[in-house]
Amino acid sequence: MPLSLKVPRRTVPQLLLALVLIAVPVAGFSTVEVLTASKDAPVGLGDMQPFLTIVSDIQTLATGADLAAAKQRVTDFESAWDSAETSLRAKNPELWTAIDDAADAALHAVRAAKPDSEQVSSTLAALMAALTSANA
Amino acid sequence: MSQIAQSIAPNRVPEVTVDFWLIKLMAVTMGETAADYLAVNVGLGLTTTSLIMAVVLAAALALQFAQKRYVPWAYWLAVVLISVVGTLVTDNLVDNLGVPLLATTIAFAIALAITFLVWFRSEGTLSIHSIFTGRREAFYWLAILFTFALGTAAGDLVAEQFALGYFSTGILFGLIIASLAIGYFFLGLDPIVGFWLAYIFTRPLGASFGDLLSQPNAYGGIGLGTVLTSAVFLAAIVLIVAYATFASRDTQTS
Repeated sequence: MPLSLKVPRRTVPQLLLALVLIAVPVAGFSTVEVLTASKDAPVGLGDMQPFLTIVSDIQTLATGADLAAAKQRVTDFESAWDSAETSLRAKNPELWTAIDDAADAALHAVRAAKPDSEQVSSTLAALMAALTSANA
Repeated sequence: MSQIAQSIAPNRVPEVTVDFWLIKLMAVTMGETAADYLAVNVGLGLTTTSLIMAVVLAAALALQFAQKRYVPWAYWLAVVLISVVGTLVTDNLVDNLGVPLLATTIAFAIALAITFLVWFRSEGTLSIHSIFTGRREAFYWLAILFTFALGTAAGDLVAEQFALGYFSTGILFGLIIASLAIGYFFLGLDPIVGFWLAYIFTRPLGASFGDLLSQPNAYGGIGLGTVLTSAVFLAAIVLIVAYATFASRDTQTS
C-alpha cells in the first residue's frame, strides 16, 4: 500500500473554515479585552494577609525547631496558594511568578530531609518580602 | 461489514443531541471540581490520587466496552472519569514535572491528529454514528481522552497567557463554540469536524464555570466549594442519564 494519505477531498477547506470560525471570536474577544483593560489596573495581588500569616507561622515554628509542625504549615500554604492561583495570576502574572518561585524555594528548603536552617530562614524571609511587596 | 450486520449491530455511543451536550458540559464541570477536591482535600497527594483515579477509569472503560451497545450510565460514567483523570494528568505534567503548558497543548494536539489519521486509515471513516466494533470504539475513546487533555491544556494556557479570570475565560470559549455552531448550521462546517472541535472547547468552557462556582470569593469565584459544586452537577447528570435510560426503554418497548 502506498504511503499517500487518503484524506477526504474537502478536508483542507473544512479545516480552513474551522480555523476561521475559531479565529474570529478569539480576535473579537482579544480586541474587546485590550480596549477595556483599564490603564490603572491594580499592580498588587490584593490582600496577601492570609498568606503572610501562614509564612509568619512557619518562620516561628522553624526557628523554634519544630520542623514537623513547620512542614505541616508549609502544606497549608501550598494548598491555599495553589487554589488561589488562577485569580491571583490574572491580577499580575509577573508578581505571581516571583512569589511562586520564592514559595517553591522555601517549600523545598523546609521539606528537605535535613533542612539547612540558614537556607530555611533566608528563603522564608525572601517569600515574606515577595508577599509583602504584592500586598495591595 | 455488510449492510445487514450494520443495521443489527447497535451504535455503542450516544447520538449527538442537545442533552448530549448538556451532560457533556456538566460532566467536565464536575470533572474539574472533583479533581480539585480529590487532589487538595482528600490528602493523598496529586500523584497517588491520579494513579487511583486512573485505575477506576480503566475499570469504567472495561465496563463500557463490555456493554457492546449504548448504555447511558456506563457511557457517562466513563466520560466523567475521563474528565477527572484528564484534569489530574495535566496538573501532574505542569505542577510535578514542570512541563510548560504550550508544550502539553502542542503534544496533545499532535496526539489527537495522529489518532484521527490512524482511525481514518484503518476504518475509512471518522463517523461517530457507526461505532459498532471494538476497534472503532477504541479509536473513539482514545480521541475522547486526547480532546479532554488538549482542552484542559489549551484552556489553562489561554487563562495563563491572557491572564483572564474564570468568567472571561468562560465567555471566550462560549463564543468559540457559538461560532462553530453558526459554522455547522449555516456555513456548511462538516459535522464530524464540528463535533470534535466543539468537544475540545466544551472542556475549558465547563472547567472555567466549575472554578467560577466552586472557588472562594477572594479568588474570584462564587464560593460554593468543590464538594457542593461537584455534588450538584453529579446529581443533575444522574437525573438526565436516568431520564435518558427510561425514555429509551419506553421507545424500545412501544
